Amino acid sequence: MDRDSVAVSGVGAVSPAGLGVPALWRAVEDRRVLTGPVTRYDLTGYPTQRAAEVPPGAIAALDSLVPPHESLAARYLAAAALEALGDAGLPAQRRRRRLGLFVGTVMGTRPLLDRAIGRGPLGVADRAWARPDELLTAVRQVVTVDGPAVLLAPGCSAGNEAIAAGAAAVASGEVDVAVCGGADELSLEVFAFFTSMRALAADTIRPFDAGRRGTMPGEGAAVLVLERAERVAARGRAPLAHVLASASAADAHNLTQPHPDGVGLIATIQTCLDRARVEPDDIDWVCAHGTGTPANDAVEARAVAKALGGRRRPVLSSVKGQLGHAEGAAAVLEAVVGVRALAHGLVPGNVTLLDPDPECAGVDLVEPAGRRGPVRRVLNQAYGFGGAVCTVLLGKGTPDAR
Amino acid sequence: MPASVAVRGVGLRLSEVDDLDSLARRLSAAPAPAAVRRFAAPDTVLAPVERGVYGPVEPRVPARAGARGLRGTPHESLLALASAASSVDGARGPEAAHEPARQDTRAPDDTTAVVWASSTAGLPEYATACAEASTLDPGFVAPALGPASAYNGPAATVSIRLGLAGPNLTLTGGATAGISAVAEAMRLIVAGDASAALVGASATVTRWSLTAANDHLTPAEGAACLALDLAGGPGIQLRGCHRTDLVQATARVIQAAARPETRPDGLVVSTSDTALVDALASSQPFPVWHVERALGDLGAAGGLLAVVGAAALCAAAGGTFVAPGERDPKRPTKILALAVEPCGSTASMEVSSS
Repeated sequence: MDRDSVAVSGVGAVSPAGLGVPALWRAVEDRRVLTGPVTRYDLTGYPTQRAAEVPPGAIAALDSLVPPHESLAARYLAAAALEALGDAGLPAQRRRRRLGLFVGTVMGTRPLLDRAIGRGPLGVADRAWARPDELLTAVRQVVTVDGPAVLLAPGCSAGNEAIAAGAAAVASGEVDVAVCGGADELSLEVFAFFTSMRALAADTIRPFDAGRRGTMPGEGAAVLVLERAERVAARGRAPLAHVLASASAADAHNLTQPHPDGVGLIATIQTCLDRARVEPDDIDWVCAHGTGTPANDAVEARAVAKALGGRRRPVLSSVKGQLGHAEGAAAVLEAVVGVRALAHGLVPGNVTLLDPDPECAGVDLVEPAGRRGPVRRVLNQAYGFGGAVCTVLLGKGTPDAR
Repeated sequence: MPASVAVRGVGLRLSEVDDLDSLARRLSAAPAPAAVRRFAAPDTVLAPVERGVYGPVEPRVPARAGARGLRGTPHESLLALASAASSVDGARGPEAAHEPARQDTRAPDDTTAVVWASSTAGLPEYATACAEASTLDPGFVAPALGPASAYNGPAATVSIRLGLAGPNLTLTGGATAGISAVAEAMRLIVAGDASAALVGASATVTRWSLTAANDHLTPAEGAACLALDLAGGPGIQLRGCHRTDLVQATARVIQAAARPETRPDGLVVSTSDTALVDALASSQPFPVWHVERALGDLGAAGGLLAVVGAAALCAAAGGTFVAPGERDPKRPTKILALAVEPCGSTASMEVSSS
């Protein structure tokens, strides 16, 4: 491993499993399905009423961790950033180092407007919903940012784009520390239009299942702290993982439908392999976008099978069956799960899979129990409405890393 | 990040601005009077307001982007598409404007990146979906509103309509997003993800955006797009992006101004803080232009307009950008574009003609 490579030195997460990466990883290991009835909004009359919420107790616990802000996503992000910097052994507030903030989101602070949705004319409370920069307000209060503060909103590839941008800033020397995050909160607006598009599952998200009926919104935030590996070593710590490569492309096809051949996804996977100089068989886990919609999963499975055609079928699973689709936070939450998978030697399973879709036969769908064994490289892929695709390849940290 | 990228074409859709020459003039002139318009948000408690704004701006989508299938496309996405298509036509010369629009559905092989900055994209669609969710039965929100209610409508529309399969990024937030967009595009070009880049920014004014508008600035709508590729030959070049806090950025400007060899010929600033611009203007030995004073408040697009404005001033000073080598530059010109947000986040970029 190149000593100058970009290392993951800390991770943080706020998820439907609660506060912290340990809660998230425990839920993954325990195969808990975290989707359930929505409590934050009144969904009376909606044909489906389930999503993956950050539990009320966890939200209440944020009060003692981060400054107040109307936007839950802003507070999730601040909490995840503090956890990740603490995990990396870095003080959150110190000048004279170059720290950059790279954050992906889909809706940012806009869901503040959702709270006015009721019966009759829409009320309008504060104005932070019309100010995207407000998403970074809480994290800026607790973390000293003296480098770039970049808010990326390219659709659901957002989290991976934040990792890619931060990793590049570390590699180029623009920053010493990149705080790469993703954040979104449950949006009734998203729930309403997903309902109109008939994209929501009524009971369970079943990625890659022949009987999959749709996805469900999720929420949360996750952060990877990235630094040069030598900088981590100089503090006497071991990297948790490495960012081996990233690649971005677009389908240039349709606002809501993936390209039927998954051209953007295939291009980014191949570029990641080329950049990291690894073969398809070297990928131990493909952490799929896997939303559970009929439109997505077959296209994704075919594209992965094509891009990673080796001696064996690519090993693939989606954690969205457990976590829901946290939009801008999704890819970073999945990257955090990937970092833990590398450390613990566990490929998470497709927990809700009952009847594998024959159209997904080109990939090796991980059984619900998951698989124990060496995990050296994880390919994390993300894309969404608009056609933007970003794929990140993570590699194992040193053996003594947690 | 590469040492520099070259500006190959510019597309502008701004109020009372047609080209780089008129943009350079507008930056230096006294602020234009703003037309008072009425803004309403039906099915909400928001009362209609009347406000002086720069706009409306007609998209005038060039033939390259095709005319069919654009009905229902949000206004901001149309402005973005129009400016992007114009920047491509500018980069390829006048005959390119007559190239047929993309018709086929095969995988596009053009790996040009689209990197866009906007604070307002999707906002009216998001708010309208909320209003519909509030007034209609569940499941009756117009399905087309949802996917258009995120920030990435402009970048997605440009990529899909022009067949650009390179990276597709959208930046949002404040004015630094417009300069960061150029920085991220440079990164994607040098990494090999993109062969070239269309870097643009846009803004629209609606009853919704006015709820968060600065009282002391004139809200504006419009779009601008730069066609960029790796530097080579004479023309307008972009280099030296620095993203930091206000303290370090100010120190950098003062240090650069102190020595003739590093001193820029001017500074174009995008910020809502007029006092900061006044302070910079009073203490520097070079002219300082203020994007928001001349063009109005365009949110995240302000940062990119600082870069485009600097390019316009360089071009006006004798540089050339459309057809490298066609016209001898009179003298090299170097202008610094600077974006400063209220939180202190700053981004700067050097724009020069050679």
